[in-house]
Amino acid sequence: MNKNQINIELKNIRSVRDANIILDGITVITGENGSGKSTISKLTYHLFRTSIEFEKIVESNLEDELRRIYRSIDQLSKELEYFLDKDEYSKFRISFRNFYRSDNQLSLFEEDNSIFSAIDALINIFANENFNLHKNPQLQQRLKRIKIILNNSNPRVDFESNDIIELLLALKEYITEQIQHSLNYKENRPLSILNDKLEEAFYDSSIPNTFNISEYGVPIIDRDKNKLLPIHSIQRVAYIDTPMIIGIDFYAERAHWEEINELISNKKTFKSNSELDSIFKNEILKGDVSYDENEISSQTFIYKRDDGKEFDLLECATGLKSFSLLQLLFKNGFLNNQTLLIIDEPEVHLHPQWIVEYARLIVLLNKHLGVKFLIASHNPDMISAIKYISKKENSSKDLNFYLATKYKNTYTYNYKNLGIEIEDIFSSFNIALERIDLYGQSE
Amino acid sequence: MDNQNKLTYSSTTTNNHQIASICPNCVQKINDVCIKDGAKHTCFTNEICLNLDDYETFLAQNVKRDKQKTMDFTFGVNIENRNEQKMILVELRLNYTNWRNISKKELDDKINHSKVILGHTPIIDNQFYFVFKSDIKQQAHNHLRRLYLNRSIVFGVDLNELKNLFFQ
Repeated sequence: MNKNQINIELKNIRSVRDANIILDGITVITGENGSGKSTISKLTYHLFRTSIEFEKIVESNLEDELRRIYRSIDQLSKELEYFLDKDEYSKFRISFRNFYRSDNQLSLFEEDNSIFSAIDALINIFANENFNLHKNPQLQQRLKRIKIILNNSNPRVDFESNDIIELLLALKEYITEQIQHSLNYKENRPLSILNDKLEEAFYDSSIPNTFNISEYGVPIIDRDKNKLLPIHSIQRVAYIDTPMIIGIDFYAERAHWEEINELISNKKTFKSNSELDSIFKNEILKGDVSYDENEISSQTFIYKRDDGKEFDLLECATGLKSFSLLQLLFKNGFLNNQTLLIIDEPEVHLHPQWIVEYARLIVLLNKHLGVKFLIASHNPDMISAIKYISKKENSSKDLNFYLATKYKNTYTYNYKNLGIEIEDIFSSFNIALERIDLYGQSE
Repeated sequence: MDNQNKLTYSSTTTNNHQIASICPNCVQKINDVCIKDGAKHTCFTNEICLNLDDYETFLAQNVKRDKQKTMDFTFGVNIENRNEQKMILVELRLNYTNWRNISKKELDDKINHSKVILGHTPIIDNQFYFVFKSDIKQQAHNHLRRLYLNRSIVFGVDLNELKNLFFQ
C-alpha cells in the first residue's frame, strides 16, 4: 500500500509526459513555461471537485434540465390568456405560479415534484370539456405555435403526437426518466459526469484517459467499472489561478472562477485559529476584508483598513486581493484539514517581501489547520520561503517539491520528485542569471 | 566566459606574485586550505594558491594593526592567447549551511581589503568566487547575485565548478 494519502498521476497528457504528484501537505510544482503546471492544477481541481461534488453536479444538471422545461410550460400557460376568459386566466396563473415558488424547487427528486403538478394543471385545463380550442379558428394557428414551442424547447424529447395533452404527458414521462437517470447517476457515479466536466474545462482539446487519483494506494477512477469513487480525505477543493477574479461576474467558461466567487461570498463566520486571524488582520492586510451582499452600493467586497477607512476591494491593489482571497476562505471556515487549495503562481502581483508573507501563510495554514496545498510557482523567493519557513515550523514532513524536466528533444516533461531539496529548482532558475550575463554587459 | 579570454590557472603566476616572496608560508596547496575550511576531500591535488588569511595575519603582526577580513585565497591565471596574467579571488564557505546569512557589506569588506593587500600586479580579476557545498551552491549563487543587483561580479560555485573553470 502506498504510504501517501493522495497521489495524482498523469501520463502523456498535453506537455506532461509523466507525473506522479503526492498531495499530502504542501506540494510545490515548478518548471518552465509550457511544462504543463496549469494542466496538472486544472485537472487536479476538476477531478477532486467532481468526485467531492458528484451528487450536487448530478442534481444541478437535472435542475438545469427541469428549469428549461419549466420555462417552456410557463410560456405555454401564458398562451392560455387567448383561450380562457380573463377571470379564469388570472386564477389559473396564480395557482400555476404557486407551483414554482422558489422553495418548491428544492424537492427535485420527489415524486410529487412541483413540475408535475404544473404540467397536470395544464393538462386539466386542456382536457376541460368547456375548453373549446375550435371555437375560434384564429386560435388554431396559436395552438400550432404552442406545439412548435413545446417541441423546439425540448429538443431531447421525442414528441410524436400533435395532440397537446399527449405532448404534455410525454413531457411528464421524459421528466420521470430524467429523474430516474439522475438517481441512477448518484448511485452508480458513472465517469460520463467527470468526462463532461473535463470536456468543459479543457474545451480547446480533449485529454486522454491516462490519469488517476489514488487515496491510500487505491485508484479513485475505476475505469473497469466506469465509476468515479468518492474521496474521503479531501472534502473541499478550490482553484485560484488569479486574484483578479474576486467579484467578477464574467466567467469566460472557466467554472473555477465562478466556484471560487461562490466560496468567498459565503458569509458564514467561523471561529478559527486566533494566531492566523491576527497575522491576516494585523500583519498582512492591516485591516479586514468582508463580503456584504446587503450593501446598497455595488461594493460587495469591502476592505476596512485599521484606521477605519473603507474601500471597495475590487478597486484595491491586486496584491491585497491575493491575501484577501485567502482571508475570506479562512474566515468562513472553508480552510481545514480536508481542504485542498490549488494555487497557480501565487507570487504574481506581489512585491518580494509579500511573496515571503504569502509563503508563510501557506506554511502556517498547513501547520495549524492541516490545509493541503498544490502550488505552482516560478519564484525563487516563494520556493525558498516555503522550504525554510516549513523547516523552522517543523512542518517539512509532508512538503514535496517537483521539477518539470524536459524529455529529450520533445516538448514534453517528466516531473521529478525532489522531496524537500530545492537545489535543482535553483539550478533551473539560475539559467536566468546566465542569460543576463550572456545578453548584458559584464562588469 | 568566452573562450578567447579563457583564464587558466598558472602555478608560475601564483608563485611569481610578490606575496609568495614576502611570505613564503602563504603559498599553500588549495586542497589543504579547503580541508582546513571544512572540506572532507577535494578534487584538487598539488595546485597552489596564496592564503590571504595567513598573509593578513602576517601583515597585521608586522605592522601591529588589527587583523581585517579578507577573501580566503588567490591564485594566478594566464589569459589565453594573450601574454597577460590575472589574480582570482576566492572565498570558501564550505562549512556554511546557511547561505542566507551572507551580508553584502561583509563581502564588500573582504573583497576590498583583499584588493588592498594584493596590490595591482598582476591585476585582480573583477569576478569573485564563493565556494559552497554542492548541495546549496545554486541557492547561494542566486542569493549572491541578487545581493549584487544581478551584476556578474560574484559567483557561487562548488569546488568541482571552480576546478572546471580554471584548472582544466
